[in-house]
Amino acid sequence: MLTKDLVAASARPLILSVLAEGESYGYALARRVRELSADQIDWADGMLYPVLRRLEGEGLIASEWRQEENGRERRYYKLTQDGRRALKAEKAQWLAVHNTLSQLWKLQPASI
Amino acid sequence: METPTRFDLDLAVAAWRRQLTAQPDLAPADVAELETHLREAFAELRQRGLAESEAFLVARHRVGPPAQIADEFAKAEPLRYWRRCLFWAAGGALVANLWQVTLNCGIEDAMDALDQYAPQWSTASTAFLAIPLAALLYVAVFGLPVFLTIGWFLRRRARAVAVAGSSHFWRSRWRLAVAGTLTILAIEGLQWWALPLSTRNSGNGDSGFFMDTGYNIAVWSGFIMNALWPVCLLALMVWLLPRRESGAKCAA
Repeated sequence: MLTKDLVAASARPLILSVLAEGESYGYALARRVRELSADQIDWADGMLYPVLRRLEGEGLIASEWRQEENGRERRYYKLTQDGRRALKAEKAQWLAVHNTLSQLWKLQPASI
Repeated sequence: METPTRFDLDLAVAAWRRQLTAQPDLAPADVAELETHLREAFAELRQRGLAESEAFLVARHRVGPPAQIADEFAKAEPLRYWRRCLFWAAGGALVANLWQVTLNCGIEDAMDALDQYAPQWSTASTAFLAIPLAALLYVAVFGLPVFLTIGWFLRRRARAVAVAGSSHFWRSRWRLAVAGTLTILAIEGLQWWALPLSTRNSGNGDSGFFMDTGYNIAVWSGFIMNALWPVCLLALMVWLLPRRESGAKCAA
């Protein structure tokens, strides 16, 4: 289980990376992260939305409400051009940390 | 807690929704989005074979405690938070100001009517009676809503602390409105204190440089209090009006 600080710090690159796969909505986003991390990253899902607001405020993602077949409305998020650039920068930073730790722990470094 | 009644999802969601809408930092669009999330989590947990009430409990737990979510929203959008604070403070100030202007006019009219219809009562000696009486009436009528509001907000605060444990003082609209009210009262009090000449001598025909100056200031301060303040406060409120995000839909 990740600590609270690490969950908060990793929310940004995780959201940007999931959205890089294609547009998505809050619930699917949370589910994807939970599945990929094998339940290691366990967000209080409500906390996801303030991060989405912040990213939207920074212009890294854009959102749009759409009507579903069941009549309910769902808010879809997608990455903007700025978002793609921000993700690149995030990726470089996280890989730098990862590679450093990998060498210290004698693991295979990740490829960039 | 054991209840023999059947679980009703819509009722449970409505109760949960009320907790969310009680958080002033959450916009209707945020609440709608969180509700969609809760319902989707519920549906998925049901598919996994959980009973309705269990699925709801787990889904609610996953979304997280409303007060904490609201805190995060406030942190994510500090500008919206401050706009909201100022909006409610200005609202409280505007109500207090308009209330006072109305009362001022009422008292002046009452004095004028006394002059006209009962001149024998309108002498200097009756002024000793009428003015304190009017002041008493004024304090009672004007002070009552203020005291009621303060009492109500204290009660609310006690309840909010009992429920949330970690409630922010400025998170309540009413607290902000009372703060605005007290601010405007303090400004008015300062005006009265700073301009004793104008308020005491504007009407008795005693002329002279000080009296004229005092009278002029009284006219100006009256103008500011009666016209400029409400207009400024109203303009401030319109400017700060909580904005709907573009494309955001609110569920009913």
